[in-house]
Amino acid sequence: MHGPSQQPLIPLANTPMRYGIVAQTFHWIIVALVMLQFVLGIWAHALPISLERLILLARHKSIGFTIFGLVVLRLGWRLYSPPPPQPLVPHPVFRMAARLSHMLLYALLLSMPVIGWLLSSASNLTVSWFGLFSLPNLVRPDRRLAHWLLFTHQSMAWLLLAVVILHISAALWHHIILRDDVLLRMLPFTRSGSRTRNLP
Amino acid sequence: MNRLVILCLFGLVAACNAQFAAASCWVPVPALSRIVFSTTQAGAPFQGTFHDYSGLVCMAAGGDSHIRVSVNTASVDTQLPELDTALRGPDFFDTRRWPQALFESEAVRPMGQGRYRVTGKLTLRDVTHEVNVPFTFTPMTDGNARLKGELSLERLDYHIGLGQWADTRWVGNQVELTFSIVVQPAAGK
Repeated sequence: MHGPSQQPLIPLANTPMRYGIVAQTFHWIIVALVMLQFVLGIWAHALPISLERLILLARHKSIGFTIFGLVVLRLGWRLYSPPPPQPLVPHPVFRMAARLSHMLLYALLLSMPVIGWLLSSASNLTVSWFGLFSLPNLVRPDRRLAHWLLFTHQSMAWLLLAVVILHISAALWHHIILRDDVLLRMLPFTRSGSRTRNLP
Repeated sequence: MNRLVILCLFGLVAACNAQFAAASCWVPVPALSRIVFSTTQAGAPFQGTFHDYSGLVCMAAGGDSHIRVSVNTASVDTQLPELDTALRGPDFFDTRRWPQALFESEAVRPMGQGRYRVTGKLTLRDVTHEVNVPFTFTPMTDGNARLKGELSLERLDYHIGLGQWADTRWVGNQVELTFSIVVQPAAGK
């Protein structure tokens, strides 16, 4: 039983100590969808032209557009409810690296769906969002442009994977080596504050 | 002749019929023409074209009108080379066994104001169905004429898209064929 003065386990909005429910939900839903995107994209790419590939790619495009929308909302929420401050790290270079890699994550999550949308348009395949509505074609069908956009989309996917690995490694570094609550504050069902080493 | 064409442009049927009384025959000029098919993939609109076709359109006031159009199905173009190869394959047009799609009719009915309705036989692969196609026939000032119209069909009626492709949720069954064909007077007809 919580007393009236006690805070709920996770607040809705971000606090100086941790991420709130909204930011955590955005984070983890986007994690799940991006993982699904890798599976769908790689699986479809390995298939010859078939109904299965058509379905996989249709899902991939619908989910990609969904991710774009969620990231836009997430950035809006971030403006409304600023995230907890960056923790102390051994060197300013790490702070810079953290800031840059977060910016790169957002940039990739926003630009990859747009490149994919351009790729579909250039391939004469209009994008439909789960069969509910169609997106306008951004460019005319163009084989060479489509080829180049596919290469760009794939390269960005590998870059995203690299930055995600860096992101996870950094979270584990904070948790295991620095023993702060950078990881815990993005996890539900944990209490944070016990390991606080935040900047004032 | 010119005055006749102008009368036709104004949609005076009698004048046009007078022109067709001589059973004027025309052949398509593919460079100025388009045959487009529209359907859906994954719920989104999808279009392709056929580049290569030939035909003979003879318009006459009496019962002598006849239309015959033959489309080289291997000329299908969706701007996706991989898909075009699949469309030429056995699950779709099977262009090796049936290289031509054919439309034939001897029943062209004038509906007035340059509009006509043709009833004829459309053959895709080895399947033939009777279809009704409304179209307009518009003589142009350069002596050519333009045939425009569209036809709606269900691809599965013609066994287009067999096996896995018979799924109509992901590949639309309804196909609109739109044509805008410039025809020039046939030599020696």
